[in-house]
Order: sequence, then structure tokens, then C-alpha cells
Amino acid sequence: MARKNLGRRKIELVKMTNESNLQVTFSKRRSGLFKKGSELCTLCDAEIAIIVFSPSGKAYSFGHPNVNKLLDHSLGRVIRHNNTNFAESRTKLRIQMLNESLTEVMAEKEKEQETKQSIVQNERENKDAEKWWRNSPTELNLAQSTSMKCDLEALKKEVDEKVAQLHHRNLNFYVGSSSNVAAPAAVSGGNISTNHGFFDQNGNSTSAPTLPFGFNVMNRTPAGYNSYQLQNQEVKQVHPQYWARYY
Amino acid sequence: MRSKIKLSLIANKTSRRTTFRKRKGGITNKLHELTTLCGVKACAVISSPYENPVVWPSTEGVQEAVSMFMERPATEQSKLMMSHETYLQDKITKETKKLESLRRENRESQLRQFMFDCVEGKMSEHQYGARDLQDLSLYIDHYINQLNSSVMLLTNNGASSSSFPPPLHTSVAGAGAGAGAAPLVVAGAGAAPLAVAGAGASPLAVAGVGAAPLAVAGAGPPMAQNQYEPIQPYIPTAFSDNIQYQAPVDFNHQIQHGIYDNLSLDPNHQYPFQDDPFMEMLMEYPYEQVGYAAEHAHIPFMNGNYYNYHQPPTVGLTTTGHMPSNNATTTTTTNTTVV
Repeated sequence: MARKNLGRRKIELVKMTNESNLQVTFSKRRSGLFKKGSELCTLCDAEIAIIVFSPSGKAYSFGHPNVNKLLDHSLGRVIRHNNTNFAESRTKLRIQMLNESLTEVMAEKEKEQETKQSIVQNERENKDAEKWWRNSPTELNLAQSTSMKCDLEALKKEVDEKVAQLHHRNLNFYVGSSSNVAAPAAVSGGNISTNHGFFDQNGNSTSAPTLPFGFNVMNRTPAGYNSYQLQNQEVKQVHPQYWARYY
Repeated sequence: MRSKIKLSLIANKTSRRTTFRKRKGGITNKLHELTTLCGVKACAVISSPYENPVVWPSTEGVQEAVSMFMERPATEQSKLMMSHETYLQDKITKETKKLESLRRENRESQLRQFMFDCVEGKMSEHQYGARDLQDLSLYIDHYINQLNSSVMLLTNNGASSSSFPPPLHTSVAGAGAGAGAAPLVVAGAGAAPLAVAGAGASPLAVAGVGAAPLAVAGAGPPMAQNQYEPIQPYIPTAFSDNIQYQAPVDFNHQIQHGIYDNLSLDPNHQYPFQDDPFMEMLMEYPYEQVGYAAEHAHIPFMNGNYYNYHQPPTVGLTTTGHMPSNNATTTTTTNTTVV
């Protein structure tokens, strides 16, 4: 029967005539067959040996625990399930760990797939006839490309300045420079945080050790305080009063 | 909907047996399809603790296939042989590569969205760190290269193409729409380029001049918006967080070391003050203190703690924001004089 759409369709169960299609089909179906065999071994603790000869004559095989061993047992009608064997136990444990690792990788892959779906959804929503700068570079005309290039160069300069600013501020804080003194005067609420990154990436940590912070505070000590220290030679008398006043 | 089955041994023996029977049928069915479609030979032996081993297609078929298999050289047999362990390892490697490729694609898409939001002046809506800014900078470079290629291609096509006027009209419409999307303040300025471009449509020489205002009009609004982005709320937030985080630790250290340091280290404290009592000494003193602390590692923060007696009230005033830094300093001076 003839079908309009070119999607998935049922195939007749007869030998294929197209040579390249036959090779591709063999490769795909062999992989699927081995996958099913692997799953059966994992789920039901079964022992399997599969041998498939390719159209070119090669012999592909999948076996658990081993092709030769299982074939010998089967042909000789001798079946031994000795689960107490040390080597077999170790192999089972390793296979279990591999299965767990595979499960984790598949789960993360599905998560990334969902992220990709949400990104595509966002792009579709932001697609607007008036927002020509969101189009692909190949879709822009000469004026639009030139304008976009100027905007991006300005944006890049701004971003580079921000990166340098971040780096410089971290260095200032660690060294205890006096340039940090001016910061408290501008304290205000903001939604910009450098302690966690965008896109689930870890940003630079800005937690600093105790020592630099002490220096930072010392820079704000007034000169009169030092003069007072010079005049007062009896240290014991000063300390108790400090204690009472500040603690 | 059927739930996804966990890839591990089924605990229930009855379920295990049932699953085995079903899946065994599935495997034999797949073998049948493969051999029929590709006209190849195959055999399988499936054994389990519950049933007698099953051979496919038949005992004679298996023996024949095994004979063919054994005729192959041993190296070829082992090269194409796959065990459960090696199969799982290969599958994990393959899936891991796919995962990394997918992550890379996702990050590139997110960076592109972030870049467009920045161009539109929505940078403050995102939470980002230094790493993200660096990646964004690299991506902008990459995108500018693409635009350069596009510009060169358009320039060459424009020079050789005989249908230059129609693209000009498209350019006018596109640029006009772009200018229209800008804030209302710029909308008035956007009208002038349109008029100029319209007047310049007929002669080719004037059309070249008309392109410049369009580019300028398109470039203006986004740049103006970007200039006032989060520089102001950027610095104090981190500083405030750090102050709050560090204060308690200093407090504890002062209690533990204050008395001891004060009693035993007085001569060292007097020396720098007597020699150089001016403000410049304050700028140089931190470095000397660092060296001194490094030489006496067994007593950490001893000098810093001595002068940190004023730290708690200063930090408190700064954090609350009720008093600026200058007033805090004045208050400290007054208290010292009274004592």
C-alpha cells in the first residue's frame, strides 16, 4: 500500500533486496538483539549465547557468562549452576555495578533531554517578527548584521570589564586593600549573586579567610586611637575597661 | 502507563520466571525477524535455573552454526565475541559520550539566549557568575565571527547581484521594525531614519548614504540600556555577605587570644608607632604584620585581634545600614576619648 507520510512504517518479513539497507538493518537489529539478551541476563539471571553471521560472513556473538562455556554445556547436555564460585561472584558484582552506572548515565541523559526541550520551548516563545536580532546570522541582511556586530562588540567589552572587576575585587578582599572601605557606603539590596552560577555551574567562591578581614577593619582605625595607645604605657589598666565596654 | 523497569535482578521468583518466559519469546522472535530480513544464519542457546535450556532454531541448527563458528580462526572469534561485561562497558561509554555532547549543546543554547537577553537589556534578570561571563565572552567572539562571514557574503552578493533595490526595501522594513521595538523615547528618533531611507530609495548613490542612519538607529537603544546594568547593586551585596560571614569567627578568636597577646607583646606594638605615627604607616603596617604573623605561626591573628576590639560595633553599624562608615569612625573616636 502507498503511504503519504514518510514516518515509521511496517515492513514485510521477506529478505531485503537493497544491499546497503540490508547492511544497516542487520547492524541495527543485531544491536537490539544483543541489548535484549543483556537485559534478560540482568533481570532473570539467565545464561545466554547468541551467534549471528553477518551478510559478509563475520560471526558476531554475545554470551553470558561465556559463549564457549555455555555452548559446551548445552551441547553436552551438562548444566552446572555453581553460584558459589568466587570468580563468578566477582563477575556478577561487577556487572551489577556496571548496570547501576549505566542507569545513572541514562537518567542524567533524560534530564538533559528535558532541559533541551525547555530551551527549545523558550526559543519558540521568544521568536518574534520584530526581534530580528534573534534570527540566525545567515538570515540577517547587511544592515542588520552590521548593527548586530556593533552591539555584540559593545556587550563583549562590558562583559570583559565585569570579569576583570570580579577578579580584581576578589584579589582586593584577599589582600586587605583599603579600596574595600568605600563599599559599605553603597550597601543595598540586589539580585546579583556571585556565590552560585548560572546554568547550574559553580561560580567563584568569595568566602575569605579571617586574616584579611581583620586587616580590612584595621584600615578604618582612626589616628587618634593610635595616639592614645602611645600615651598609655600601663597596658593592664586599659584591657579591663575595654572588656567591660565591648564585651 | 507501564513504569520503566529497573535494570537489576528481579527479587520475586514468580515474576522473574514470568518475565523470563516472555522475554525469551521476544528474543526468539527478534532472531526470526533478523534471519528472515537479512537472509543470514544465527543461533541461540538460552538457559536458566528454572527450565531446560532452549535452543534456537533447533538442535541441528545450533550444531551446524556452532560448527561454522568454530571453523573461524580463534582471533576472529574473540575479536567479535562480546560478553555481558564488555557489552555493558561499551554501552556506558557510548551513552556517556552522548550525554556530554547533549550537555555541550544545551550550554551553547543557554549562552545564546543569555546573549540575546543582554542585548535587549535584560541582563539583571539572570543569575550568573564569573565562569558564565567568561563563557559568554567566548561565545560572543564566536558569534561575531559568524556575523563577519555573513557581512562579507552579503557584500559580495550585493556587488554582483543585479537585484539590489528589492533587498534595500527589505532592509528598510527590518530596520524600522527593530527601531520600533526600542523604548518610546527612541521611537521619535526612529522615524527620521525611515524618512531619510525613503527619500534615498530611488538613486543608488543616496541609497548608500541611507544605510548609515539605519545602522546607527538599530545600534543606539540596546547600548544605552546596557550601560546602566547591575554595576551598582553588584559590589555591596558580596561585601555585605562576607562581613556577616566572618564576624563571629573573629569574635571567638579575640576572646581566646586578647589577654595573652596584650600582656606579652606590648614592646613590639610600641615600636612602629613611635617611629612613624603618620597615616602612611597605616598603609604599610599590614604587610609588616603579615610577615610578623608568618614568623610566629603558633599564635595566629594575635596582632590583628588586638586592634579588632572595635570590630563588632563597626560591623554591626555597617550591616544595619543605619549609619555610614564615616559616622561609625567618629563614634569610635568619641568613645576612645572618653575612656
